[in-house]
Amino acid sequence: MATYKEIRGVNIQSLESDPTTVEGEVWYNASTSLLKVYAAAGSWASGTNMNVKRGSGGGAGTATASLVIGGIAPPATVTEVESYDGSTWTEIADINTARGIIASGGTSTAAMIAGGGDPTTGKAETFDGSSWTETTDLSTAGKLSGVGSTTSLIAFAKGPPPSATNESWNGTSWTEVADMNAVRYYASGVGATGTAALAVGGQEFDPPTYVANVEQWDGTSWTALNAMNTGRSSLGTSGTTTAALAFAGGSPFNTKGALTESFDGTSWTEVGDLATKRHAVTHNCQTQSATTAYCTGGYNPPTSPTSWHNITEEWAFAAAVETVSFD
Amino acid sequence: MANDKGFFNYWVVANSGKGFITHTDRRKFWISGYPANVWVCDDIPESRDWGARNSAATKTKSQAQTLVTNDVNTAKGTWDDDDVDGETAAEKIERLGPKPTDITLP
Repeated sequence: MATYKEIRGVNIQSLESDPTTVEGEVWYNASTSLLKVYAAAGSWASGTNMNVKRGSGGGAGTATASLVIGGIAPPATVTEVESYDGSTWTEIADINTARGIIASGGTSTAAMIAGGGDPTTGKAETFDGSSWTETTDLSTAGKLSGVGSTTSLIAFAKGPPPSATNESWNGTSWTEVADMNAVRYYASGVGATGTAALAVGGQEFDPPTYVANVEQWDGTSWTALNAMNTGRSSLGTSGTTTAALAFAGGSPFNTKGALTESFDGTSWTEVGDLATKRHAVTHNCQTQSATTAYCTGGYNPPTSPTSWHNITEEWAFAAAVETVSFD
Repeated sequence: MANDKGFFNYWVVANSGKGFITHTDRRKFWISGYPANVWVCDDIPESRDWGARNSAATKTKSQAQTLVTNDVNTAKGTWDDDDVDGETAAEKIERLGPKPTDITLP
């Protein structure tokens, strides 16, 4: 076996205390008899709980000003909207039509939603920072996913039954555009515009089959990318088309709902798990970042009305001193 | 991470929100939440500190399993009793999600 010196050209330093750190540095702490490394890694920690228990709300905004819009809490759907600044949830103006599993996007002061259920609707609404206003309906009602802004939004993965159809919003009207390659619904979206997005995961209908497929939308057509390691539906996502996170979701949710995967633009890698397994979390790019994200709401795992929760976990990617352990 | 070594602590405590589990906690020990506010952690000093910090009630594995099983059974009963005339099995799953299934704690 090659030694550390043969690989790196230097020996591991033996130090009496942890040094000022540089990412990737390795050293032996002689006073504690521990091998240490300064490594960057992501992890989930508890965040502030939302005010309203729910699942499958739509996400929008950024890491410091994100929205959770509507959602489901069977037997009802909800109209409540909350904004999160990283420490406090604040209830703001309700949407006009209660629904979950929606296309959503924009910022905390200029957002848009479309579609959703139950019952399924094609209604669309825009938010101007103070109130929600109905605008032009989708051509076809349904639960769906989607991302973008008030002037450019792509709505996809519509169901039930699951479909490959999509509609694009240009700020004024909806246009049916090229189908996805794979039929699905209960997917989640990544992206900040309607011309550069990812459709992540989802499921087929009967029997429920959880899919790992990921497709990229370039404003004209969908291209299949490398799939996630684990198929899942009703998941959460965050980030961009070249740096994204996918987390939670069913597959089946009892055992897989804590999994998190990171996308580098080419492939998906499993990273740190959520502390609470869950299904039907807020979806659609709740922040536009793969290094700062939130997972909110959902259930774990019972589906009784009392089991929907308001738990939030926050993803952060940071470097820290780690102890190297050997099994 | 040492979640496969077979030595765990079992706690019951409600998630209190921010600060309940920190990024530092997650870097130091494995922890996973289950129904009935049951939490399972690596049995190391840092996780015992976490339990004390959150005033968590310690349980045996058997006690914790019973709490989880009872919660899941309640959810199963709720799911079974929630029928709509004329609804197919697929439509029920679409409306409620899949029927809850048993959970076995590590």
